[in-house]
Amino acid sequence: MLTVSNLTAGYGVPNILQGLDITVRPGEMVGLVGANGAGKTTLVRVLAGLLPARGGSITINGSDTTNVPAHARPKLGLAIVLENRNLFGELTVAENLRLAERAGANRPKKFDIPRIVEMFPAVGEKMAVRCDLLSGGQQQMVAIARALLLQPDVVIMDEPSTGLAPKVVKAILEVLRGLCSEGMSIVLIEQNIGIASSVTQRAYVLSTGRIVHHVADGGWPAFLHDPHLVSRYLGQH
Amino acid sequence: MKYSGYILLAIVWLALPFVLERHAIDLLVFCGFYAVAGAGVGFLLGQGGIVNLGQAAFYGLGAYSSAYCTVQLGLPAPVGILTGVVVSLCLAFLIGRPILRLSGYFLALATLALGIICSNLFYEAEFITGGTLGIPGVPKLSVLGFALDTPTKFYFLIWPVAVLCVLSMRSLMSSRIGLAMQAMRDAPEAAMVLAIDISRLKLWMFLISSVLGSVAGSLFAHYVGFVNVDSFGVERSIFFLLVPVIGGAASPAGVLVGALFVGLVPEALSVLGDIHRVLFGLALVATVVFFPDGLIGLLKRLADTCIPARRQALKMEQSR
Repeated sequence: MLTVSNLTAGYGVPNILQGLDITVRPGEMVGLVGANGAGKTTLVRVLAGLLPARGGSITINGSDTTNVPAHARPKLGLAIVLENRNLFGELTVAENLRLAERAGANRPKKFDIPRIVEMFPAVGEKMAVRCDLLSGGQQQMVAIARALLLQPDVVIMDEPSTGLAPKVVKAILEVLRGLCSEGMSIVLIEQNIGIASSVTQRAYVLSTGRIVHHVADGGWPAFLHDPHLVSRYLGQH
Repeated sequence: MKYSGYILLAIVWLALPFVLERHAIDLLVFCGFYAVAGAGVGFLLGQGGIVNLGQAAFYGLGAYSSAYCTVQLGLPAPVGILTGVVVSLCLAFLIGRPILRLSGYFLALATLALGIICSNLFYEAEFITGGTLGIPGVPKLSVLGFALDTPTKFYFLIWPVAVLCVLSMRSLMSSRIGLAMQAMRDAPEAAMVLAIDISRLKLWMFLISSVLGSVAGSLFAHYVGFVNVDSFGVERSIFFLLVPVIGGAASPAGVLVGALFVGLVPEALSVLGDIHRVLFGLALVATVVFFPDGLIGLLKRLADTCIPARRQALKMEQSR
């Protein structure tokens, strides 16, 4: 469903991403973990089309999207939840959702606003409220709802747990699990290894722009019990 | 009751030409030109966050197109106005595509460069523009055989045109495209990942702005009957930018207030002698510092405070 091959990208002269290979299959939630500065957000920007790839390829549902502009990628089945939610603060929740609904109108319909409200009741209660007046958790839910209304096959979520209460994080992760069981592929970019290991089947460990370790399906316990690996790549104990 | 304020404004507007001197009406007509051209600049600024310092280029293209078509080619005035619009659209399309990739100061500087280049071209292209001599004898406009040959008659054309522009902007802003524009302004990258083609959106906005500049320029040419390069310099572009900045870029109605301020305040201050330019500068700074939402924001706050119905509506909104 999502295949990244030998991807290189960067801002200045040296590449930040140095030959990444990632594969995500349908219905899979894959983690991408790494410490600050590992290149996680750069990867998200390249996948979104906000930063051009310098080499390699990105394939979604078999279509090469490497050079497809950012605004055309949702039509191919890709949705991104950017770091810090990036909602349109001056617009209401309903207006934010309506924009996404319209953008996803040409794709096979899996989500509509009533279903979104069922998944996130808090969103339904705040439809007429400006997004910049919502709490962090509510904003994150709107951001995910907005991504789902694009009717995607693959969702990339950049640090969705940042700044949220554990209860809210738990609720969001539950929703993500449910989406995977319906066949959606999710790439969860996380710095918090606890969250990543609790919800993803497998993960790629990113360090200084390279995939330095692959946590295979069922391999989380072994990884977490290897303090050398965890501290070396994630700076956590 | 809901529309009483608008009815009162309309009555005042209708009565003004009959109580004011010719010079004052003339000033109000010029305010109308500023409002139409400024509506384009305000639209770019308020909806796209784009600072356009080159609107005088389109204003000039409209004016010269009308003057050239009517005086040199003997074509009817509407053909001249339409030619100005087409030429402006072509220029905006050709220039807009590369410069709208820029943002912030760089984009503002690019529009400034456009204004300077066009101003020089107006000066150099004597065979069309008449250079420093300009093009005299631009005929007065006539609508359905009714010649608009006095400031009063033109006043009754230009202000409805300005209000129509403002209403069109307002209706565009509340449409789905308007939502996309607001999204682009709030969070451009989020807008892109939400399938909004912001390059195309910005280009559309630039094209709309150029049309308004051109129409204002054409009407100006027919009103004054003479065009020359002095009317289309950088100073004019700054004037057009001041219109939404002073009036309030977020609200289309702000450009009407801003145009009145920019057109009338310097004239009012001129009775104080040479110091009036300094005072006007101070007035601009004070307006921007004390009323960041523009004068329309101040008027709205005053209305919310003074009109009981609005006060009540505001309270209800706050309590929700």
